[in-house]
Order: sequence, then structure tokens, then C-alpha cells
Amino acid sequence: MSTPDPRHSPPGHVVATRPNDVMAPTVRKHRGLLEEVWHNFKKNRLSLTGGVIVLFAIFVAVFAPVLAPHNPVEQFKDPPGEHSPLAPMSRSEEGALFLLGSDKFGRDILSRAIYGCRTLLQLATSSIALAFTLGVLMGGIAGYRQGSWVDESIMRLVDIMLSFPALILAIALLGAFGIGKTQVGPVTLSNMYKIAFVIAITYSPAFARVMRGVVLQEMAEDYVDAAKMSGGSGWQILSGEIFVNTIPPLIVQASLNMATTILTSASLSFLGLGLQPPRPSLGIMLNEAREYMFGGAWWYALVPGTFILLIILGFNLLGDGLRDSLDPRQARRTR
Amino acid sequence: MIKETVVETVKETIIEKGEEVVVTKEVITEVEVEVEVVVTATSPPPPPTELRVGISTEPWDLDPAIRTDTGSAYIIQNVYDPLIEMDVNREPTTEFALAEGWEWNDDATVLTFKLRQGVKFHDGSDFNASVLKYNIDWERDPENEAPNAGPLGPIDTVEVIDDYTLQVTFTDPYPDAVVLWTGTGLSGVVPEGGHGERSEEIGVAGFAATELTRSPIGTGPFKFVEWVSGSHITLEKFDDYWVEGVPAMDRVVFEIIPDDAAKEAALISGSVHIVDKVPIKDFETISSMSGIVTERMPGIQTQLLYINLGAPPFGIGPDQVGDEAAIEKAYNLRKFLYHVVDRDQILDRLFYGMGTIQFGPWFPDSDWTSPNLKGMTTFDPALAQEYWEKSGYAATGLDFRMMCTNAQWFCDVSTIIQEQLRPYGVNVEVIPIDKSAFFDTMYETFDWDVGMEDWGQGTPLALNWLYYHSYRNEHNHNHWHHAEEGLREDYHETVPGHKEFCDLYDQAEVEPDEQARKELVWQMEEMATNDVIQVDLMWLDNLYAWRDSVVGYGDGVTPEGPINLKYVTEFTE
Amino acid sequence: MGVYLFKRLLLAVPTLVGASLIIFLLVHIAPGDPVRVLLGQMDDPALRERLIQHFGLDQPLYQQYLRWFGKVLQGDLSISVTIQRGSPVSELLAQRYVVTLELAFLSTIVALLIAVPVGITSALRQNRLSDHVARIVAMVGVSVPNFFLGILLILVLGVTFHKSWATGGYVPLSKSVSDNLTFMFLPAIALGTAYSAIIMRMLRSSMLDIMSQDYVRTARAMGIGWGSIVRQDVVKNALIPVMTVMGNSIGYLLGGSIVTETIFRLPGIGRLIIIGVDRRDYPVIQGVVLSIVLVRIIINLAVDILYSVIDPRIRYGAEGE
Repeated sequence: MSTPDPRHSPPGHVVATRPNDVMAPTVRKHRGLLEEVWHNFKKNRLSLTGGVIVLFAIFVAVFAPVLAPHNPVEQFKDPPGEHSPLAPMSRSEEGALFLLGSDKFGRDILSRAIYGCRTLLQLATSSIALAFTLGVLMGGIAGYRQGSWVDESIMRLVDIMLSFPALILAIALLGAFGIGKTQVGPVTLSNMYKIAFVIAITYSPAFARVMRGVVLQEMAEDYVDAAKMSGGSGWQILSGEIFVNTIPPLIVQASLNMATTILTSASLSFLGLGLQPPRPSLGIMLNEAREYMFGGAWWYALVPGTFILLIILGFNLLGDGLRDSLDPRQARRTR
Repeated sequence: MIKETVVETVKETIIEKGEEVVVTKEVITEVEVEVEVVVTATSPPPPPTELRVGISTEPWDLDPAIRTDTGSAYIIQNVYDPLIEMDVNREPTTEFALAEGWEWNDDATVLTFKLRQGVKFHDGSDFNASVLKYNIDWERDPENEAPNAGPLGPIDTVEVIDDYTLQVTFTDPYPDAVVLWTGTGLSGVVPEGGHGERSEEIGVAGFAATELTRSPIGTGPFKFVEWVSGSHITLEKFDDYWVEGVPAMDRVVFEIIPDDAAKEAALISGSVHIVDKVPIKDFETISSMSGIVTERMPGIQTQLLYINLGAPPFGIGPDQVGDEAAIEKAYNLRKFLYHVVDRDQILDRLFYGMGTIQFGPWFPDSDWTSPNLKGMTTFDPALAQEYWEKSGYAATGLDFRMMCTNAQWFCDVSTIIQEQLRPYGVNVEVIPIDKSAFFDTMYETFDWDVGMEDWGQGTPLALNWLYYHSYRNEHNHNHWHHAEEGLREDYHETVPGHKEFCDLYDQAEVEPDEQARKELVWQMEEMATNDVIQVDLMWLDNLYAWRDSVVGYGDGVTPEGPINLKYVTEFTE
Repeated sequence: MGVYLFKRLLLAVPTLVGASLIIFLLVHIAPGDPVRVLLGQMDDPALRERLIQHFGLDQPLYQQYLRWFGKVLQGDLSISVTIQRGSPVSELLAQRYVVTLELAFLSTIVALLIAVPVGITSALRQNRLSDHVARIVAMVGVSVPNFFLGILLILVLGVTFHKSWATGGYVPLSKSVSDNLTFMFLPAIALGTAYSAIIMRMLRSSMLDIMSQDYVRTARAMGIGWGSIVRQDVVKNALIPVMTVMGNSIGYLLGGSIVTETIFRLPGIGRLIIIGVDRRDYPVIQGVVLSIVLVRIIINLAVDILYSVIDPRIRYGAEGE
């Protein structure tokens, strides 16, 4: 069943099943799957656009040091008689040109936005990767040991985590762990990974559910019984045959959650719960911009906001496209 | 005025043909008569005047004996009268205060108050000496756990001499009592029994609500009407206020508007008439707008960097006690920090130049600031470089943490300092945390390096500030401790000099001669500043703005910043 | 049906208990505490010790938890330590929920007003220009962070057009209905826009789903006009999953309200939790989060019931997934 909280399942995917359920699209298990997917994908112009945007964002993030005109943390001096934030196309006292204006510390907004992309994508990718790993582990174990107390307790935990709205759980967790490096046993988590970890915790239930659902489906298949009879251990089966077939729905889940993960990271920074100064962060820039709106510094809010909007848009288009390509029924309808 | 025709019949005697004849005449006059027209209920009374004030934070507690936040002060100022008031020069005054005068005995151990007569509380009861005694006794009672009771001093007895005379006897000389009492719960005098019963329902400890917390009753010009959490607090005129002509308006509504921009917009559009503060960057623009009056005056908020003297790199760890080399290294690093921070840049960038750079802990133009500190070099790149090299970190680089409260501009100041240190190879990790975690970390652990915060200098006494600054061996901001019997187990002796500092304080506290006391204070300030116990950056100016329809409000603004509506003479809206 | 309902209710209990445990632990692990906040800058260690004892903060965690949860079960959410000191948390919650629920309600109306006509039209005119435009607009709508939209609205209407109501604020319904709605107008749009895109996409694809079903094609073959088919069957059936979506989105709305309320200064639940976290007001934080979890559980349950009533196929659903 679809909900606007994509931790539950991919939206727009309608089948008359029980609510709170996750429907794994039926995937045909034969070669040529990849070709089929690519074929469907190419035909959808919207998803191509999404793909282009995402690629561009990744490009910007990777090549940030080259693309950014200035050091994003350098605070330039104001020309006499003026006060930062300065308007686009103005110069600092040292002569540095601010293509898109400067912020309240005299730092170049364009450079900060470029590095901000990098920070956002780093955060989102690590969050998803962690959520993926956690979810797959939880869901895999629960599915394999279906019906046991292990299954029950894991799924109860998943239920509980799902009962918190994502942002609120993240706020509570970050409040508990604080900002800055934290010791978790022998491991020191840097601030960024801590935030990624927190976000991952809020998104892993979705992956867990998808994984468990697919594992259950696969386990009912004949080839699993065959493998068991020929002496394969549980882990081998799980990581071998079953896992391969779980990949497509998990990828769909990941691509859809990418957009909301980005939104959650940006919201957290906006609320001041994210990264530490002077790290460039699009959410923090938006928050700083709020007090300068009435002074007329429109660029301060517009630049980071537009960047965030485009990135999320890219991932949404891409995610939709991927999902459409992987599900033949959808592909038939929406092309 | 009505014109009425009056006819008078007059008899006159005239002479006609030699004979006297009596003639009747009619004299007609027109008279203007003033007619009083009695107005009955058919004609409407003038609408009640309503003043609206925009404040930033919701008050916590309207009981003056237990409140600790500034938001509550705005309301308390207008619902209650204090025993002693402070004027714009931070001197005690009896204007709008319930004390008419006071008198010390020879050795500053007995203080006698003469109290104002004819003052009534909003509930109709009278103010007199026994009511005042109730106020003082309630606050002193340790069971009530009143947080503002400390400055009351070492009180021995409180005696009612007569209805309007109260005598307070201290166990030791306490010459600053009058000034210090303005910072206690006596900033608002409550009716006898006003605090009410302590019961499970309202809460047990002193911080739990009293009966006045949400329904204050005082002698002030305004009575409490309602408090809608998250929205506003309403007060209305108290007709029996003991000062004629005050207040000048019928109702006051304190609107809670946390967002500075919105508050500013409300002031400009006229939907509020007074705001508690103005965004720094907009002050100049607002000042030139018609219909708005602004004022800027030196304030009492000092911005400072707390330094952890109990651990490297700025201090001495427990295993380094007495280690001369370690002490020297930490000292050099602190001196580097002191001289490397460009205070003017911070002042200009964040505060638009509206503040005063500090030389040491106290106000730069006060004669309680040591003349040796005045005009001293603060920001100096050459000196900074010298100390940086002496400290030995120039070769290796340095990483340290600066925690800042995640509010107002504290993390912004930290961000600027972080950038100022970067060229030296210093990596500052700025850690924004909430206020509670900040102070918890600072007091309870040695696991921090530098903290950026501010402090409101509530009491205008330099010695008093030095008490909170560093005096308490078991509890000070910078972990400046000396070894002594009874020192907390988890504390250790840190940077040297604290014992000397405390000895100077003890001397100053009982020194009767003011000049001698000043010199002792100067010595303490020099010690703290030259050894860089903390870095006192700057005092910020207070910025006020109100609409010109509120006449006289400007006479009541002080560095403390409360919203004092008692001075408003006219409200023309 | 009764069994199903009972089972679901029973499952809700450990969820609630588990959630309460988690939030309690998280809040108490963090450094800092309300006493620190209360004492302000003139801190007194002796007073602090006494206060900690009074609030029971020195007891072992499990005891504190049992004490708190025990009271919760009796309906007592205890007293806020730092907000309008002494007010019961339940009172604060009630005041603030009124605002947030109104915001959620208005946002939903905004969302539906946009989504329903656009979604239906888009499905009916599939793959024509209007469909593509609608889908692109929906995509953008879903991608705009609601805080950015809020800021943009304030920037355009508040700053450029100088509308004073565009800068935020709140007037209770009891005081003035028209003022209240004026101030709620922009926040509802900010929160409702992304929501509308979600609903629209859902509606569109569920309608397409149904339109391709056999019974619809049969009806068409029999010559029944699109109009009546749409009205009688398609829309009604398409609305079922949409309603489920909406039911499940209370979490989304509550989360989104945090940011919207911050930008527009609405005294709702979202703002309350931010204030609570900042002041380390344990009873408030715990009370708010627990209430949100409870609301979600109740609504999920209600949606489940509604769904099982409408679609008998799943009434006696299988175990497991």
C-alpha cells in the first residue's frame, strides 16, 4: 500500500492489497532483464531528464574544488560603506567577485552552494547505504527465520520505528547524541556519519520490510528447497540465490528514498540540527537567509533553495523512471 | 449655551407735565444661559486604549521570587513595584519604588527602610512593613529554594518597627545591600501570603509554580488579566495605583513574537507599539522611519570566551599539576588566543559596530576598571605570532573545540574566530549545542576546551561580577581551582594564581574604604586578564525602538532592558 | 472482523510501550537537563542538587521511567518544567494540537482542491499535453522542500507586496475566524502543495489502474459513456487507496508541520517539540512524542478498519506480512 512516507513503500504503486504492506513488483527471472529495464528507461523522457540532473549534481559534487570560484569558508572583507551580505556580481574589498552574492560572513554563496551539493549528496548516499545495509540485515534475518521470536521482535521494532514520523525521530536521536564526534564503543563517529547514521535508522524499516517480503516470496520457491536439500547452509542460500532476486525491488526503494533522504537532511540542517560551522550546507544557508529576507537579500535564500529543489527533482524523476522500467505493468501504462 | 429672552416688568416714576406718574415698563433682555445637558447611557464612552508590546520569548514565571528568565521581567516590571528601583545610571532610586528611603547604621550591619504609605495591592490589601517582612522571609526560607535569594545577604533578623518602618540586621557588614537587593525577588513586592501554599498539585520545589506564577498580584500600575501560552499576556489598568496619571493606557497586551523580523514588521506597520529588541542590522533603517523612535545605549551583556583551565591545550590536566613547562605552554597558548582574536572585525560584521571592546572583565570607562588595563592592546597579530611560536604549537599545528550555545549570535562569533585562526594552522571545531548541555559540559566535565557565550551583568558591582567570574573554588566557569580541603574529588588544582585571587576577594569583601576596595578589585582584574583566565570580548549595546505615539517611554529605558511602562505619560493611538 | 480488530489493538500496545521506552531513553541519555536550564546563569550547586532530587533526576533510569509511564497510564502527563511553569503537559498539548490539526486539515483541503481535479483530468487525458504538464508540475511540487516554499511565499508576498499577514503569526479561531484563516492561508499552501502532488500522482495511477480493468472495458464495450463510468465506478474505487494514503500521511503532516510552524510562527505541536528539546523539558518532549505515536497508531487502525470494511477481500487477511 502506498503512503506519502516512502519509508513504507514506493508511492504511486497501486495494488489492492492490505494496508501498510509493501508490494514487491513481480520480477521476471531471466536474462535480458537489464536490457529490458534500460529499454523502458530510455523511452521515458522525464526519467532521462532526471538522470541528467542527477549526473550533473554528482559531477558538481565530485568536482567541487575545481568548479567553485572561491574557498567556501573564506570570509572576505566588506568594501568601505557596505555590509555583507552583498548582492550578486559585487566584489569584496580584496576584489573577489561574488557571482551569486555573498552571505552574512562575507563568504561566496556560489562556492558554498557548490560544496553544499557535495555535502548533501555525501550525506544522502551514506544514509541510504547504511539504511540499506541495516534494513537488509534486519529484513533478511527476519524473513529467513519467519515465525520465530527473532522475526517477531525485529518486526515489532520496525513497527515502533515506523510509528515515529521520520523528522521527529531524527530530532530526538540527534538531541540524544549531540553534535560533534561521538564515541560508540571503540568507534569514533564523525559528525557527518552520525547524522547519516541517524537518518539511516529512520529509513531502514522500509528496507527491512521490502527485504523480508521478498525473502518470504523467494523462500517459497522450489529452487530454495532444492538448494537446501543439496546441503546448502542458510547463509549461503540467503546470500546467494535469494539476494540476487531481492536487488531490483531494493534498488527501487533506494532510489525513491534518495529524494526524501535529501529532504530530511536538508530539513535537519534547516532546523539547526545538522552540520557544524563552517561546513557548507544548503539547509543551513536557507536558515541563515531567513533573517535577511526583509533586508532584501533575496539571493541568500533563492540560491540554496533552488539547488535543493533541483537535486530532489532529479532524484524523484529518476526514481519514478526506474520504478516504471522495472515494473512491466507500470511501464505499459505510463509510457 | 442657549439664548433666552427675559421679560421684566418694571415700575418707574417719571415726571409728566410737572406731576409724578408711576409707569409700568416692560424691559426685554436677551440672556445667554448655560444649560447643563445630562448625558445618559445613549452616548458611547471613548474606546479603551490598548498598548501592544512585542516580546521575544514567552515568560516562564511571574513570581518575582523565583523567576530567572528575562522574559518574565517585562511583565513583572509592570504588575509589581520593586522595593528599590535602579535608574538609568544603575544607581538605586526611590522613583516608582516602595521604599521611600533607607538608612544604615555605622558599621553597615543594620539597614532601616522607610516605606511608602497609601499603596494598595490589586487585591485591595495594603502595603506595609509586615507585608515586606513576609516577602523577605519567604525568600530567605531555604525550604522555598528561591534562586534569587543569594544577594539578600547574611540576614540575621527582620523586624517590623512600625507600620512603615522595617529594620534588617545582618550578621556581617553588608554595605552593598541596597544595590544587591534590586537583583533579588524584591524586584517585585507581593502581597502577604501571596506565594501561596506549596502542594503536590502545583509542584514541590521552589521552581515549581507558586500561586503567583500564572496569576501575579502586585502594587504596580497594571493588573493581570490573562496569559495565553504561545500567544500573549494581557494586563489592564489598575485604577488605585499610587502614582497619579500612571498608567497612561487602559490595557497592555504583550504579544509573544519570537521571530525578530516579524516583530520588526509589526512595529513598522503599527500592530505593536513597543518591541523589546531590534535586529541589529536593521537598526539604522528603522531609526530613520517616520513614526518610530529608537535609542541605543551601552548594554550589560558581555560576550566572552570561557576557557577550560583544567585540561590541555589551554590548561593543566590532573597529571600536570605543578609541571612548570606545561603551565608555561598553556599560558603562552592562552596569550595567543587573547591577541589573535580581531574583536573589531567581529563587532563590525555581526553587530554593525554597536558595542564596546573590553579591556578586562568590567566596563572600560568605569573607575572600577584598573587603569593599567585601560587602553591595553587586545588584537595584535605581531604579539599573537610571538606567543604562537613560544607555545610550541606553531610547529605542529593545533586542533581544539569551541562550543557555543545554539542561539542568537554565539555560533556566529565562533565561526568568525574559527576563520581568524585558520591561517595559523589552527583547526577549530565549532560545536553548537543547547544551553543546558553547554553549562552541563562546562561545570561537570573537563572535556571541553573553549566555550562562547554571554553573561548579563545584572548587578552593577564589579566585585560581585568577580565572585561569579572565578571566586568559587568548587564552581566556576573556567575550572580555575586551587588545592584545598574539601575540594571536589573529581576536581584538581589547575592554573596557578587562584588562591591569591580568592584571598584578594576575601579582603575586598570586608574592606570598608571604597578606594582601597577599588584597588583590590583592580588587582584581581589584572590577575585574571594578564593570565587570560577567560577572554572578555565586548559589551553589546542595547537597541530600543517604539512608536512615537507612546510618549515618555524613552525616559524609562535602562541598560538592564526591561519594558517599563510607568514612564509613559501619553498614549495617543 | 472483531478478531482482526482485536488483534490489531493488541499489537498496538507493545508498539506504544516500545515507543515510550525509546523516547524516554533518548531524552535522558542526552547531556544537560531541565534543572540546568531553570537555574539560568547564576547557578548554585547546592540548589541544583536539591532540585535534581525533587525532580527525581538522581534516581536510576528505570525507576524514573516506571514513575513516568505509570503516571501516563493514569492519564497524567505530568507538568512542564520550563514552559509556563506548572502547566500540565496535557493542557499544553491540547492548546497546541488545535493549531497543528487545523493546519493539517487546511493543508489537506488545499491538497485535495488541487489534486482531485488535476489527477482526474490527467488520468482521463492520459499522455496528452495536459497530462504531461500536470505530471511535471506534480513532480516539481513534490520536490520543493516545504520550508523553501514557505520562505518563497514570505519573500514574494511579505516582502515584495508588503502583506503583513504574510510574515507569520496566529490568531485563535475563538478570537476571529477571518483573522485566523488569513494567517493560516500561506502555511496551508506551503504544507499542502507537496502533499497535493503526492495525492495527485496516487489518484492518477490508481485511476489508470482501474480504467484498464476488465469490468470497465466491458462497460465501455457495452456503450456506456465515460462520464457515468468515471463518476460511478472509477473515481469511487480509485479513492480507496487515496484515502489510505491520506490516512497514513498524518505522520508526514506532523513532521512537515515542524518546519512550517517554525517559519510562520504558529504555536503548534511542531514548535512545541523544538522548544521542548531546546529547554530539555523532559515531560514536554516525552508527552509530545508519545502523543504523536498514539495519534499515528489510532489513525492507522482507523484506516485499517475502514479498508477492511470497504474491501472484504482483506478482512480476514492472512498472517505474517
